[in-house]
Amino acid sequence: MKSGLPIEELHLLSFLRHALKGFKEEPLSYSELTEQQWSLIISLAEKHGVLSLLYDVLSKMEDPPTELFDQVNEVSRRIVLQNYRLLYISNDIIQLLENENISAILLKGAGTAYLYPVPELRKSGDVDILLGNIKDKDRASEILKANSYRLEDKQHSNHHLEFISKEGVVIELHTMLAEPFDNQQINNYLEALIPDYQRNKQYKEIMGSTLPIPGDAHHAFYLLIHMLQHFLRAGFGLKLLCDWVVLWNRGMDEKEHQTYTKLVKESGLGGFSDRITATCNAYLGLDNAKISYISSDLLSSEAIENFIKETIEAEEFGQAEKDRMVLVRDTTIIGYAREFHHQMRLNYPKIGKCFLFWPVLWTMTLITFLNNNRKIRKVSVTAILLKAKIRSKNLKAMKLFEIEK
Amino acid sequence: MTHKQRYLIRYAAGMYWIIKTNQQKEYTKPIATNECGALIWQGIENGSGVEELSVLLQKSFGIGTEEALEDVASFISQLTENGMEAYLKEKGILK
Repeated sequence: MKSGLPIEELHLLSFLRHALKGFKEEPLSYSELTEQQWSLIISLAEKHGVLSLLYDVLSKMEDPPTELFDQVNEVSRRIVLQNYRLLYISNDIIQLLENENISAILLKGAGTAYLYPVPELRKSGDVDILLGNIKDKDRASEILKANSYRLEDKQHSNHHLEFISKEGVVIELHTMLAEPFDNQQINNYLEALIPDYQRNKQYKEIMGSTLPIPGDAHHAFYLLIHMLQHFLRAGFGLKLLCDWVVLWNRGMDEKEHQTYTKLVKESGLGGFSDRITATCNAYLGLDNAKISYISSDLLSSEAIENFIKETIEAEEFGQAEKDRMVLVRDTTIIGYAREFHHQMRLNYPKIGKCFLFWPVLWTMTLITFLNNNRKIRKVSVTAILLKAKIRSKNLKAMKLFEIEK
Repeated sequence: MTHKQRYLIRYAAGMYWIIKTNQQKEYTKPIATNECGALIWQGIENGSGVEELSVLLQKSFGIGTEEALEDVASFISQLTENGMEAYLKEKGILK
């Protein structure tokens, strides 16, 4: 493992590796850690949504720091209870939809947690369900509303409908795999892929419930798309990398692996996938056997260290810093203009289709952006653009959305 | 698809959790218990009666008959309070 990271970050990564690999590999020696260093490790783990994954690591230690262990214990039990409730909601909604012949697939949540040594310890906050057919959107929505799931008045996304359960849990009913990217080719590709998710879904027994989840290759591809979506905005934290490690370490049969390779090749996400895989191998214990196809140049490069630093800095869903808003694929004026135009299209998905309105919509987007920076985020435009430039540094090498002929 | 098993015991975050499987409509909260409760639960699942459960506890934890019977009764009462009366009747624990 590379060593250009602060000691607390190295230890957190080491503890996570230890937990994800089922305690088969010893963590870094922790006997010399000070109280302050322990506090930083625990705080960092909480910010990344991985604190509960440390429960078994700490409980196996001879003398874990008592107060901090109590904190981990409390958080972990809360997460276990939350996960059982989310499991019930997932099962309830899927049954309601399937009873009306609507195909639904559970994304992330329990559908990814089952890959972990202790599924209950993967933190999850909401329920994500993908409809197998976009035409069922209105009917599915009516079914949920008729069963005490409330449709949120204000919808924040173009790729899913947001509902709230009576317990206050957010349910996202996805009609697309991700929010549109600033590349029409990948958007078209992802839209055409939904029937594939429907065809390849598998039923898994997860913590006592039988749930439809994507097939292994499509599961991996969805996690990749999900990471990319966050990466191109404010970033994502260690939890998503942990998902990646457990998914690949569990193993995938040859046919599914070939399907995954085809998906990343067709979508132009090979570079991004390799970067994540190599980073997870270097820092989080993704098996060496899974990286045999990745070039040694990438595995040993500074880019991997930069990627883990970027992930650690981002915290869960890029909440760490107010200037982390977006990442641009090229840092020329054209690149920034393209991203600005993309943001306008996301903000005004319907009216934005008509180019005659664009000047007005650009102005409105700019005003909202400036206002939000000043009043809500309290950060300058310069800081945001500078951060985007720094974060975009290594993006070019990933050849995002570039399809090999 | 048939779901024969109605309850499941799982271990997470240092506790045992008895959960109802494939839940819909109404949510039943899991019952959190310790090693002793988990042992009694396994005994019930395997068809043991109250006497056998008490012996099981005595052997496993080196406790007396009275204490073991009290523990079994207290655990059964916890299960009943959590809506598992029908299940306990089915298992022959309650009449």
